[in-house]
Amino acid sequence: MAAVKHEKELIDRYVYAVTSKLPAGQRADIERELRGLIEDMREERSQGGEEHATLTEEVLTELGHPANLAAQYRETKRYLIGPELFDSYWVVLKVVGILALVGVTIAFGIQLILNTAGTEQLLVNFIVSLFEVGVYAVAWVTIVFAIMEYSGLKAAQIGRKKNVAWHPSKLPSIPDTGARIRISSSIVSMMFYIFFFVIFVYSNLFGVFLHVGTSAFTFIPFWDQDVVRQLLPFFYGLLALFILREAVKLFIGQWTAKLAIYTLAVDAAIFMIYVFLFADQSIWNPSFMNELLASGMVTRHAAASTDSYTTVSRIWDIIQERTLLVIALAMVIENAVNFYRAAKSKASTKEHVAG
Amino acid sequence: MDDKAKTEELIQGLMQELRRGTLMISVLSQLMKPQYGYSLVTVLADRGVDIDAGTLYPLLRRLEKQGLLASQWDTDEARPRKYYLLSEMGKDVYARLRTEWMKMTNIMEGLLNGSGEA
Repeated sequence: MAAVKHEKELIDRYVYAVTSKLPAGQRADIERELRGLIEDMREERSQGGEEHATLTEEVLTELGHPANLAAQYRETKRYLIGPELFDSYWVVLKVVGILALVGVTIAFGIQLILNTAGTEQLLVNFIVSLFEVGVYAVAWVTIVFAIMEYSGLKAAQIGRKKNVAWHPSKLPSIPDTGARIRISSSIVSMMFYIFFFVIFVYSNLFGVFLHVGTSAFTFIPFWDQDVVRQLLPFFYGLLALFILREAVKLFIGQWTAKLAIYTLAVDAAIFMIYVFLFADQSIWNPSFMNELLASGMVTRHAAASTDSYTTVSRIWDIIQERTLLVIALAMVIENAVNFYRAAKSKASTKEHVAG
Repeated sequence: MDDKAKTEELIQGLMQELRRGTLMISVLSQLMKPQYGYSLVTVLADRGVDIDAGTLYPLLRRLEKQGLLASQWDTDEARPRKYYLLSEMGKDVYARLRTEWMKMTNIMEGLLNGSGEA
């Protein structure tokens, strides 16, 4: 009796192990069929004679590992990042990972020089940051590529669209040196974004370093640290979009109209975050001018109308007001250049084909 | 010794690939009348086609999903069994595949018997 119970338990476990990994809709039917199969196999093995103790074990061993059987039942192989994107993913992940770690180390060096806190405290922060930034780097790159995979961005590659007959004339031209996207330039861009992010945002080291007279270094941040902390998710979003843009560029590999449009779309999203960050000026350090005054870098003369305080203060105001405008201008110019490159590349392709 | 084992492994892999292509048509050929999974394993084994139940059962479901097979549960017997049968479409497809297969085996025979000649 105990043996029977044991057999039943084994079968239940096996069936559960297989079906629990399958889509809910098919589970019941597969379970029923699988139980029937196991019974049939047991019956055949025992040949009407006495059931021996290891019968069920033999049958289940023959059916093999439940995960393998479940995999046979699943129709499609599922993956987060498919083979087409994996090479780009791996390059970007390595680059972003290394850059992020270098960025954290540089920030650590700057903090050591500034001596913003005790050395032990800085060391602890450094180790925590290494871990935190490492995790974020892997997570964001993976999310970006998973979205690319999911949204079928890989179909953008010429000749890859389904249901469209392929013809050799559709082979992409070998890009001109001007239109080709160099891995190195993408890496430099990413380096810039990541350093900016790690050093200026994550480590709050965006500001002026002053060395007045014989005193130690003074650091005056441009941004209000508390506001930046609150806005951190948006900065992460910004970073993810930047990496997305570089990843798409790397993947397509040359300036085409399509790439210029993708870039424009990503830039539009980036600009929306910029508007959110800079539209009200709360991100700027409200006591910047006071701290500057306290450091002795600028001086104020009640009588004079053009003392250094007033001049710097005016510049500071202009920076706060015009940041968004400058960013917008830079983005418009960059996107115009992108479209120009794409148009030029297309024109030269036509020439080649015609000639 | 190590090289030999490697070659053997390669051969096994290639053979499996060859066999995999024949499984689907083997299964279709035996489903003019309804069979349940395990009876099909036995029928095929008797004719020299060794197929694991763990391969056949999922294959049957896939073919059903593609519309080549129809299925019905028989609950009258002590053990409920799912019977599979060629659908109308499955019959057409099988007829076409069969013709193609005959052509292919002819060509293959020519190739393999005349190996080395021009």
